Amino acid sequence: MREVAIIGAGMVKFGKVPDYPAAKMGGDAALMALEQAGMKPTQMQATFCGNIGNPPNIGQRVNGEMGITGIPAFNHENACASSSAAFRQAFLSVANDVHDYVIAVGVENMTSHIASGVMSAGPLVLPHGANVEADNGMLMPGVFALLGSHHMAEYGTTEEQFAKIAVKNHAHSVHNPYAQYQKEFTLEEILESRMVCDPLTLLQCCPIGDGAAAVVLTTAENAKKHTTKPIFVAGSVLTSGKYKASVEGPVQIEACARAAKECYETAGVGPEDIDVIELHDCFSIHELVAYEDLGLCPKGEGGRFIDEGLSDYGGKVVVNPSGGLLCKGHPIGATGVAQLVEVVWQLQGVCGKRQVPDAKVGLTHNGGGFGPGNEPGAMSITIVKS
Amino acid sequence: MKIENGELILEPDEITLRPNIFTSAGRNGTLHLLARQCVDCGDISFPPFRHCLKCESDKETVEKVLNNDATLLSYTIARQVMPGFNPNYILAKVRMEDDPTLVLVAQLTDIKPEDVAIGMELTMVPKIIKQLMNGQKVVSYCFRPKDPSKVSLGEGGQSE
Ligand SMILES: [Zn+2]
Repeated sequence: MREVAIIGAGMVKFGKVPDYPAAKMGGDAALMALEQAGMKPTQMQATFCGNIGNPPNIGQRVNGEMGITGIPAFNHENACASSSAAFRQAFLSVANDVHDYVIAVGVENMTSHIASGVMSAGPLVLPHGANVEADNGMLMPGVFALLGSHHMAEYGTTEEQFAKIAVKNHAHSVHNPYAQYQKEFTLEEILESRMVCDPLTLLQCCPIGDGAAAVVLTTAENAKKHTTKPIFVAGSVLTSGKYKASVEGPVQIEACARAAKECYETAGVGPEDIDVIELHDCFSIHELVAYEDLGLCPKGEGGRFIDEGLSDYGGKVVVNPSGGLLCKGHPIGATGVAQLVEVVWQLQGVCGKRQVPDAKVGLTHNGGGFGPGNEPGAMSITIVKS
Repeated sequence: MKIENGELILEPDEITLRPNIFTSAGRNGTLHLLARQCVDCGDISFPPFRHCLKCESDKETVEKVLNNDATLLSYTIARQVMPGFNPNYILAKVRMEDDPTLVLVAQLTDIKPEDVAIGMELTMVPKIIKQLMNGQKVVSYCFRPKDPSKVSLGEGGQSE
């Protein structure tokens, strides 16, 4: 396999913009990534696009907004990890000598889905018959509330510890001009916001929003011709939940622990080497449990990890400098690539007030939906190095 | 809906969450969940899978009537809910006695939120949990306390 590098990254500001069509958002993010790479759209050989709910052939329509047609477009759906799947395929295409220059895009206009009835507002809703647990009343915040309730009973984790994650990520978002929300909240304000699913309050739940993000990939060898700051893809893993794998033993998301282990091995690094992480904090509880599953701390000590500030500036690793899904937003298909955009910019040292000092190794963690037996659907871990 | 001699009898505007998930087979006057079991490794799946996903045996699974007893693994109160549900139901993960690796997501019923405790013993009871856009009412498996002193009829679910 050839070594692969990211040479440009771009995104549009996330927010609620029902009149900004998904393809146009994707095209704008792609043009920004191409500009950073110093390349023209006509130099791209294929587009890989993640999206779940906008009309078909989204990749081709993104190409059109970039100003190109006639190159292959590969459209990927993997729930919240859709554009991680697109990125993974873009990576494989360059690594395996299929293409030399490709673009991976993630895009979602959720507010227009809601207007057209593809999704409903408030908690995300699947049509009856799609997922037995959802049909039985398991809504998205409920999934993580149940995980949190179990974690509290098993390890003594507290509601305050979950809420502290939201305090941290809201504080980070203030310095991210691309974030949907840029507002700081106190621990009391987080805890006293409306209860959604105990112990999750509203400010610990990611919002509905629209957005797009893109990265340009080529070989490590070509990268030197285009940029002085190529970011190398050291490890890329996309897996699926394994039937009943999380129901015995510790309170964990087994697919995350398994994917992380494999990715660390491929990249030749350990959790102690990671400087910055964009982590799938769809709900605060997910971030705390993922500290443990990613090996940042021993199982059961996620609460202590946030209490001691180890996932913040000045700690062991900065988690979600962008504000994460909680504040930057979670336009579903855009999220995986948007996480990579933040980590790439951090490693390039262009993040201004939210810059993680001396960041050299970054990781993204992106989960998507559910598979048989209520295990995760997709689970993606990517490690990049400067 | 009503249960007569272990048979679930639905009104014309009622459906079960999935077809054939309830059975009265082989038991005396009580309704049970109908799962499937692997003939090689014994794994029990519900809702059932045709092939065992645990050992990935190539033999088809066979029907298995569950005894309906479970313990509570975790719970939350769903205050903001999806269309068709009444708010403030207790959503739970329960571990089935027949196979401790079988964890179901279901609603608790006939119990006040303040009486719920992780680890408590539960038993299955069918109940209407929501109404679809077309007006049909959905009957699903819920769980109530096994200890009769903890039962508060009328708490949770949508019926009664
Ligand atoms: Zn088996």
